[in-house]
Amino acid sequence: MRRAGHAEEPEEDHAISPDVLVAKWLDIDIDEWTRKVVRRTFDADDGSPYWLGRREQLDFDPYDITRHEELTAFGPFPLDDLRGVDPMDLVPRALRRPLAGRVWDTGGTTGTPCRVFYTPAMLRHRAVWRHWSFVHEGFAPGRSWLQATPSGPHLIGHGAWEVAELHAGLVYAVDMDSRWVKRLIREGRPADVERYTSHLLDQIDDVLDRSGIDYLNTTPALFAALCRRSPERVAALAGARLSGTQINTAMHRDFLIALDGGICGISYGNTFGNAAFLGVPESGGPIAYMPNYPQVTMAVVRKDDWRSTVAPGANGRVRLTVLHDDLFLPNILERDQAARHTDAGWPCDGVADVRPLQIVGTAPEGLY
Amino acid sequence: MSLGYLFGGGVGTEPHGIELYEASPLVRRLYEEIAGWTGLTAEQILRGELPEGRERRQSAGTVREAALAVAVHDLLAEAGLRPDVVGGLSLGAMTAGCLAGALDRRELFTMLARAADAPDPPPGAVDEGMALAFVRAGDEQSPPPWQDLPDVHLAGDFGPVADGSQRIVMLAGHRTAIEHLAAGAEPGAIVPLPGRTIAVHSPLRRPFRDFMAPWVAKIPFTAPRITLLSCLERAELRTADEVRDMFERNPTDPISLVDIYEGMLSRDVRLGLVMGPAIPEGILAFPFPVVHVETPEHIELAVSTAYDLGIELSEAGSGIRER
Repeated sequence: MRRAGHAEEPEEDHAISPDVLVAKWLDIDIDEWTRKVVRRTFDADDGSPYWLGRREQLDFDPYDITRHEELTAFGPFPLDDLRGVDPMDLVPRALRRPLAGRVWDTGGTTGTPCRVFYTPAMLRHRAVWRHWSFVHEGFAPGRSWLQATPSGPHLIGHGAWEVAELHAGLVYAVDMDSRWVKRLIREGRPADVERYTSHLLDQIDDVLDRSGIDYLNTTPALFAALCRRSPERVAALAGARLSGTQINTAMHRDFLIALDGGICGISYGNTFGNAAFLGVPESGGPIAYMPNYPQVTMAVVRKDDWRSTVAPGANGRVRLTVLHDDLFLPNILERDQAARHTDAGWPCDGVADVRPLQIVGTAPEGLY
Repeated sequence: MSLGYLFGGGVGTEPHGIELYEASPLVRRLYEEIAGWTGLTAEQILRGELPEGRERRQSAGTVREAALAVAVHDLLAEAGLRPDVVGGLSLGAMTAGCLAGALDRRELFTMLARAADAPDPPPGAVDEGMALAFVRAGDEQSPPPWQDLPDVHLAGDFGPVADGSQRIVMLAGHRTAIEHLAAGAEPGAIVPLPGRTIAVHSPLRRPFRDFMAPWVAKIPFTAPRITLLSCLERAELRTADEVRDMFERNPTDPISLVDIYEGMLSRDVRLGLVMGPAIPEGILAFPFPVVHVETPEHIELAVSTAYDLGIELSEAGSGIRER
């Protein structure tokens, strides 16, 4: 019998092993957890101003939600709201105002980004999962890291703090502007894309040459470019940890070869929520990820019906639900597609073979 | 780490590529150029009603499909992508040959336009048709139900579906024989293709092949400048004569998508771009990621995916990456 815990309460101290915390989280009953978050979010006095404002438009009482699967009643979350509303309004008033902390962006490569406020508990939740991944992927504490990822408004950049604080790391950093890369691509400027990539690689090479770096944290795309340009520097690393752009089994295999005995960890997600990599299957099948349960759950749904979960192994669109105590975002329809993945050790679905969403003709009769 | 371009086969009646045409001066110039070679107007190529008459209709349809594929190729080149390996099915094989540099664009499109003059079947000729057959994975070694039917031919192999449960093959032959076969099979196992009235890639297409042979013989083929894979067998076409042979046999010989994508995989293709709408998304089990390109947004997605997967972008240009 799983229980509804309080995953973001102070007992989650830095000193507690990530294995202990993750085991506790994975033991939580998702329906009970759902009821707790929904009731906190819609509490008439202490709930979220944003959600209380939407309550009148709902044709049901949120307090009647008793099961996680009933969250579809809220419909797809309107991401445009996160481009316009005050991010603090998503946070229940139970957290005393004024709020102090960071607002993070997601998206923004094609327009105004979505913005969400992360409470310290939310940051800690994310960090504990990342720490858990570091340990399980074989990254040793107390090593030197180079973090070459977007930073500034991008939560991925917070990884530098996570490595330093939770994994006793010494962290160097190179900043990359992923929005600029996407803009150059959109404007059809391939030479400038390569030029900017070279600019980043120059900085990475400089740090690698001078600073005795053990581990590199970057995107698969930038790591692939580094493997092409500086194979000897990659081979000298003890490992790489990759996230932020798509990666597949063939790339992961290439990276392990390039690392020449080094390790290669990965994760999938964005500012709303992440999923952990449990290793490449021995069969060589697609790379799978399991969400940072229970605050993050994922489903793979039909592209033409976001309410319908596809069969295990089948492909569809990734639907993500955020159930933090202080951030409720049900049914985010991601711009990714994946195969539905299940794992005996996880109380919810995961995703495999993740790649950008594409919706085009799918009738077999179109084959000829 | 290579980039592969896949060109589908088949000739649909639905207009495609309107968004690309309207968004891009490059595409509009290309269509004007093709109009000059084929005698069709750009509007006919893009979205006009296809003409009456079996072969005239088929010819105009091939011009439409090939024009879109070439347009997508050129837009990708403009955006910085150039294929290392190309291959296509049926008409797509010929388009791929052209874009690999084995014949110039004028030769390709005038040949497709020339096909309009092929004689239609005489009055009273047996109607032709096509079908897709869905073969369960466990049944692949068993004799298929059409094996001993003289009027039904295996015309193509699209390989396993995404979840591996079935394999899709294409049949061509006499329409009534195909419909009879479908009626006797499990529901959904054999699906006649509506509107497909020519039994392509089967012996029934011999008269068309003979009609086109003198024209194909005159085309000044050259050796492909990038890797060009055949759809008629597992092979790379390296010489002008090999490309000509593929063009000659294309109307009557069965095609295989598996031969193309396995050939691409063996040449380290890490991303396949499907040119135009001919191969539906998400149905087949490609051994590498694929992006389907048929709208302006897909051009950006293709470039972005190539960058993500570690494929080097090129200076905007002709689209041919010399080997």
